[in-house]
Parts: sequence; C-alpha cells; structure tokens
Amino acid sequence: MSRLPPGRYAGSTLPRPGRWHADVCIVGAGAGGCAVAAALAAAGLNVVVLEEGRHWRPADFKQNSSFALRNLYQQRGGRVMRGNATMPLAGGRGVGGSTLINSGICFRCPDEVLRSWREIHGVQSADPQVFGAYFDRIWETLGVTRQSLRIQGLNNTTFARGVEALGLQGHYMDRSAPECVGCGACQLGCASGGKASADRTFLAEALATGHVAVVADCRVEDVVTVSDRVVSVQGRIIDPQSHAPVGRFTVEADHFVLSAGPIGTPLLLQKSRLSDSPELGHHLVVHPTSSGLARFDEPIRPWHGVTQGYYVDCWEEGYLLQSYTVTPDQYFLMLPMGAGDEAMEVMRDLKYFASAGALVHDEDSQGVVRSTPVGPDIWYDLGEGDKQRLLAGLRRTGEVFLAAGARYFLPSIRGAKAATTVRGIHEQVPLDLPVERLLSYASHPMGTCRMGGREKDSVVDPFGRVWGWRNLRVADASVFPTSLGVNPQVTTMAIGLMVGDHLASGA
Amino acid sequence: MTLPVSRRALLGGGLGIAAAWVTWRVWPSATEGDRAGPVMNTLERAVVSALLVAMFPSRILDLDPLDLGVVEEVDRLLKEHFLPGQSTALRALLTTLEVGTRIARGRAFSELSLAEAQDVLDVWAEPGVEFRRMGFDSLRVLLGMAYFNAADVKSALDYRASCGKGAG
Repeated sequence: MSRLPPGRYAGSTLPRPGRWHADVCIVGAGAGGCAVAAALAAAGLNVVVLEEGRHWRPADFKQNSSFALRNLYQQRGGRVMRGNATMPLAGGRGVGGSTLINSGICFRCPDEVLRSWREIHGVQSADPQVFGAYFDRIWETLGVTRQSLRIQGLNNTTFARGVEALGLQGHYMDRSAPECVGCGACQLGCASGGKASADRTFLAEALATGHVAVVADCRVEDVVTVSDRVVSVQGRIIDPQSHAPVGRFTVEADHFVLSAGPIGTPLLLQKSRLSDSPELGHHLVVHPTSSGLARFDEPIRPWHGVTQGYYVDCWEEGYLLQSYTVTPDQYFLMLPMGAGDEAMEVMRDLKYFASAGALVHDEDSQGVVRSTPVGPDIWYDLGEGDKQRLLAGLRRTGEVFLAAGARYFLPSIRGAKAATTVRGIHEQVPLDLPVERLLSYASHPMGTCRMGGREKDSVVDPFGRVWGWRNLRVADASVFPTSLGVNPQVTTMAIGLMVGDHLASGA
Repeated sequence: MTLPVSRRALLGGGLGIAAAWVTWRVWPSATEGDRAGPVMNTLERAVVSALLVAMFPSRILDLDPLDLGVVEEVDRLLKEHFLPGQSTALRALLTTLEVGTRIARGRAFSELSLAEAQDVLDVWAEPGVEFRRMGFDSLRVLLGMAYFNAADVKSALDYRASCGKGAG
C-alpha cells in the first residue's frame, strides 16, 4: 500500500492493481464528495477521492446531446424510474458529478425544511445557524451571483414578464456561474467555463492544499470490514471510453465517506451488506417536474441566454416554477402529440417557443432503490397529492405564459392540445389527469439513506455516520430525511462540509 | 383466477421478450466479426428508415431524413452511445414494432404507407399500455437524437449553441 502523491489521476493510467492508502477515502466526486474533500484537506488530512467517471475540462465538452449523454450522464442518460409515471432520472457522471450538468441554481435549504429535519427526524445537526454559515461559505466559494439581463435571454425575460403581469413574486436565479455567457447549454457541460462546478471549486480548493489525490475511472464495488470497522474499498478501474473494466484497485483508509449519490450510495451499502436498516433505499424523493411550451409571435430562441434564469417560489402551494431551455431533441421528447406533421410543425417553429415548468416538493410519493441480480431497480410512484400539485404548477406555468402574450400553451401531457385561454389550460390540464398521461421527469434524487436521531428509523446519524460502524459515513443528498422543494446542490454541499468538519474534529 | 397483471401487459411483455431473444440469437448483428461495421441488420435498417419518414415527414422542414445520413447516425448511436444492454433492447424494440404490426395489421411496419405508419406510432404514443408507451418514448429518444443532431436540421430550426471552446 502506498500513498498517492496529491493530484488528479486517471485510474486507467496508474500501475495495476492499484493499492493505495489514505487517512480518508471518499467514494464519489460530486457536490457532496468534493465538499467533504475540501473540509478534510483544510484540516490537513490526507484524502483519496475515487470517482467512476472522468476528469473533464471545459474545452472537452461538445455541444450535442449524444456526446453529453454518453459521457456526462449516469447510464448514458437512460436512467429511468419505474412506477406509475415512469420518468427519466438524470444524474451526472464524472469528477464534479451532477454539478457538471446542472444549471448552477443555488438555493439555501428552506428553514422550514431544516426545522422538520430537526424536530421530526431528530437531526440536531440541522441547525439554521450552523447551516447558515455553511451556505455563506458555499456562496463565496462558488461565486454565486445573478446574471445580468443582458445575457438572460428572451426565454427567461419573457417568463419574468408574465410573472409580473400576473402579480406573482418572481426572481432571477442565484447561480453558481459567475462567468456565465448565457449559451443555454449547461446540461451539455459548460464549455465556456463560466459555471463553478464542484470539481472547479471545492475540489480545486482541496487539491491546492497538497493533501488530496483524485482518482477518476474507479468504480467501487465492495466494502471490506473487520468487526465494526471498514478497512478498505475495492473495485475496478474502467476504461473511460468503453466503460469496460481494465484492472482492479484497493484503497485502505482510517475513515471512509460514501458520496456516490442517492442511487449509488444505497446500492453500495446494500451490496456490501453494511446496513440492515429497513429504511435503506427507501424514501427516495426526486422533485418530479413537468413543463410546457408557449408559442409567441416574435422569435424567442430559447437556446440563447441563461439555461434556467427565473423562478417563482410557490412554497405554500408546494411547487416552484422555473424557466428553462434544452436542446431540440429534448424538446421533441416533451411534445404531447405522437408522430408526424403536428409534432414537426412545432419543431419547425421552435424558435418562437418559450419553455418553463413546475418542480414539486414531493410529499406523498413513494420511491425506493434496490439492488437486484440484474442491476439497480429504481421505483417511484407519484402520489395523488404530488400529482395534483404538479398539475397545479403546470397550469400556473401556462397562465404565466398567456399573461406574457403567448398565442397558446402546450403542456407536456400525452394527447393534450394547445390552450389559448386560462379556461383552456384548465381543460387540458385537469387535476384528475391519469398519471400515465404526464410527461414528467426528475433530476434531483434525494433520500434513500436518511439521516435521523434514532437508529430504528434512519440509516445514518445526524453527522452522517452509518449506524453500527465506527468509521463509515455518508455525505450526499441520500441523507436528506425529506425532499427540499428547491434545487439541492447547495444543501448537498453543506452536508458535505458538515460531515467533513465533524470527521476532522475527531468527534 | 385474477392475474396480477393484465393480459395486454402480458402479451406486450411476452412479445418484447420474444423479440429481444430473436434479435439477440436468431437475427445476427451486421457487426458480427466486424466491430467497425454497422450494428443494425437489414430488417432493423428498414424499420428505422420507415420510422424516420413517419416521425420526421420531409414536407415540414423540406428535408428528407433519409438523405441526411440519419440511418447511419442511428447505427452509430446504437454502437457507440448506448450501453450494450440498452442497444440490444432498442434493437429488440425495432423488431417488436415490425413483428407486432404484422400481427396486428397483416403487414410489417416497414411495409406501411406513411399515414398508416403514423397511425401505428400514434397508437404506441397513447398512455394506455405501459410497454408500448415506453417503447414509443424510447424510439423518440433514439431517433430524435440522431435527427436533430444533423447539421441541416439544426440550421432549418435556426438552432445554434455556441459556447466557448467546445462549441460544435
């Protein structure tokens, strides 16, 4: 066993089998893992970060869906949740995790959510003052800012116009993209380098201390234990192109932190039989989202401007409205009609459309992640209450666009028709809509290893320690006891900092 | 006896499994022994061609998808983009569409007129049967990615993403 000198490595270029040692081994280099690394490195601990995906530089990103999905997304963009609505569940893959492909939206975790974690789930660490300090640090590290109107683009400003016309309270987004140029392609990887993804901020900060080695192309498959301690993780080095295994590695450490995300972390815990908690893999929440297109007389060119620039927080109603843009092939998937002329006429006129959608703070939906002999099984049933909130948000999205002067609104509901009036929107988006007609999607998995003050109804304790193990922690969005109702990257990073600081303190 | 799943779901699932098996074991991939060559066999190429014509009718954008090299792009995606299991499932879906249409309508999907093919796809797009609905969504992912990535199509849509050094 040897200590890797600090730096960034591609696992496929290191001598095999890889056998490394560190004070702390972090599995996963997403928002949580990078923040843990920064906290530990600042305390002088020697850290190895393992990541299944590759290292990326902005110049590597090509602006087409095929390249992005193949290289930057879990299961090449094909990850789907089974269940009553069958929806895609996007997730990032690579050093930086989902921050490579998100829109850089920054929300502090709402106080109501932290309070419920503390009062209902016994998470005493969810202290608003402690988390407030972490949020301040994150704001500074990511360079969170609001983009100027000059680069927002008509998709966002048009939505803002409708919000104002309706008298709603909307805001331009706080984003971790201090040098954004407004090219509307965050989900393809930020080629301009304007976005401050976790690999370019927290991980860069950690690397600068000289205490951290980050090894890409490493898929952790097993966790080895002795008594009540984890002694090593093992796995395969994979070819970054084909994703085929090309070698093996083992990392020994004094402490281990799992930050493989709300899908990867419970699967690893299940596969390695590290927790017999009945809660493990359960309580998956995802912020189900549905959206629509609005046709305007003047060109909008939604692909010009900030990818997601404007929002309306309808907290009391249980949803958040957000404008957004995607690539033409992704817009094609949102269309309510089947094949042929009608769909292609919309696509032909795509530059005249604006797009936005509603994100729901899931409350009565049920989700679970299971490891099966044929691979991971992700199940999510959209609850009736969540469905109704989603539809209410979709209605409101359409109303905003009509107020902004749209000719019509086209909701992403199978078989829906264009609605030219508010009444028409309500007819096309009935609250008793059969769930299978919804064209919904999700990209914020949370839960599955919930944090709590009692071992019987949680997987990790309030500081991320897996119940029953002395040196194993989890630090990613899987520990959230509930859905947030807002985009989760900031809260995930705060969890990472909190877990890292606690571990470094020797508590 | 009440079955926990509907007969339609069983029929759809059985048809899919059969098609997957046929695709895997009976109809050889065009790449056997030649990883540099195309993945799709003749039947699959015929289905993809018919799908492209039906999904992206040339009269709307004045672009014929078969002239744009989209069939070859679909083949490339099946070979390079998707994981092997995903690629096999998508090829099985193409076979299911072809065989299923022959069973239901007396003619294979690739033999239908444009209007008939669009009608079949509209039925697949309906929410009623999960297997079929997911199949339609999967075909839209595959073919949409191939078609809308064509430079002529992007140009016809006036779509241009230009972001930093990686712009392409």
